[in-house]
Amino acid sequence: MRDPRAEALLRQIYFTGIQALPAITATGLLIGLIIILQISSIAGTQSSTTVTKILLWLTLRELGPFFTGLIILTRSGTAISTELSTMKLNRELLYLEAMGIRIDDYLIIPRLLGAMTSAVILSIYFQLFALFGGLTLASLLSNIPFSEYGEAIIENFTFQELIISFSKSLIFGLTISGVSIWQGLSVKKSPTEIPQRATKAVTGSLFLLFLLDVIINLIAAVFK
Amino acid sequence: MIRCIDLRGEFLRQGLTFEVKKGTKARFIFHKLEGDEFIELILGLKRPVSGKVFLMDQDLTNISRDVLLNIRKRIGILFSRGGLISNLRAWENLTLPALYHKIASPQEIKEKGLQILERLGFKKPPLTRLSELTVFERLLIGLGRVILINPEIIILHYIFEGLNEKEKETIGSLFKELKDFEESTVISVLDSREDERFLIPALVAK
Repeated sequence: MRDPRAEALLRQIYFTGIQALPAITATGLLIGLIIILQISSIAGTQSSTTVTKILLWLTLRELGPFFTGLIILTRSGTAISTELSTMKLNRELLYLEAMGIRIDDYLIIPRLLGAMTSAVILSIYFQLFALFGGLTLASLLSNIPFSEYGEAIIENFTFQELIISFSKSLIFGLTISGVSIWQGLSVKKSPTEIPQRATKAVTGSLFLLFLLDVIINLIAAVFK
Repeated sequence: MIRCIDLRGEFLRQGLTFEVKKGTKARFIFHKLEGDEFIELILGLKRPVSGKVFLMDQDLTNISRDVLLNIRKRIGILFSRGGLISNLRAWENLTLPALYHKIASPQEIKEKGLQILERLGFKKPPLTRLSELTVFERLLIGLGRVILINPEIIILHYIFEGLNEKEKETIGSLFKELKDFEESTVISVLDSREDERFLIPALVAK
């Protein structure tokens, strides 16, 4: 038996992180394949440096954090919003407060931390599968050994890419959970507000994901 | 332990003045909206329109949130239909406040929790989902949750709501058998004198 806060955090990581693994695996592999197909149609796959540079740049900087964010948003953003708004309408938040249990401590912080942790881990997982899928296809298309692409990946991999990828994932996880929690807790009296709030959580988070993506890229460009 | 002076709320308009001393039992009969608000006011969950509430010698109209939460953990509330948290299972609901407030070690809480379930006659597996529990069983879990934290004040909030006559009698006799509440301050909120007959022998007419 664990502390309820730790239990809530692990539960959130399980629902947001572990349960999303199949979707992340499939999407990661497919995105890797799509990127290589696009590269091969534009520039061919004979230059392992070009292929890996584009693949790394797209996967680490853009598509990894963003697609992971999208998957978390569609799966967990709506779930968090719906769960909290239902709890509020059923007076469960009042029951918790009446028992001396802090809502922020027991409901909000574990969801924020759980979503942020999951976003970072899932993003890394997504990137690994995208790289693996992409390089496997590139190797098949070009007859260049997989190991050569692997070496090119290591050569072209920079710490800056990693920082940008990590920052985006962390910020996207925080944004999605924060907006969803806020929307969920904003419900007033009627059950009809529950789907409305879930929709607002998705659209609000999505807009912020695009906006933050642009802002982080601008900051990265400035400090390059 | 609880003292109200000319307490008025949005629904509770009559201006309540009363004092419930340590170890005594009191019951209030209110319509649902008034009763809900009464509980919220005496627990500091809602600010009164006018008047004062003193809970464990603290003026709730002039108190920090931390102090208030600290006071609330010494109060056990049995809400109507149990007042359980829907995303937790029966056992998790039972042990939630005890674990959160660390009233004992997890092992002690586990042992005491299992004993309480047995004493209350809860027959289903402890990890049953709430959707598989009847209103009566939910109330038992809520009651077990209160016993587990060994509170100084116990508040019973429309506890007979949704129960049939037999279940009401069982709850009444459970209170009679349980010695846990004998020394506690108990405040019962009911919606009619009809339900008093289940409660009075156990709690009020001590």
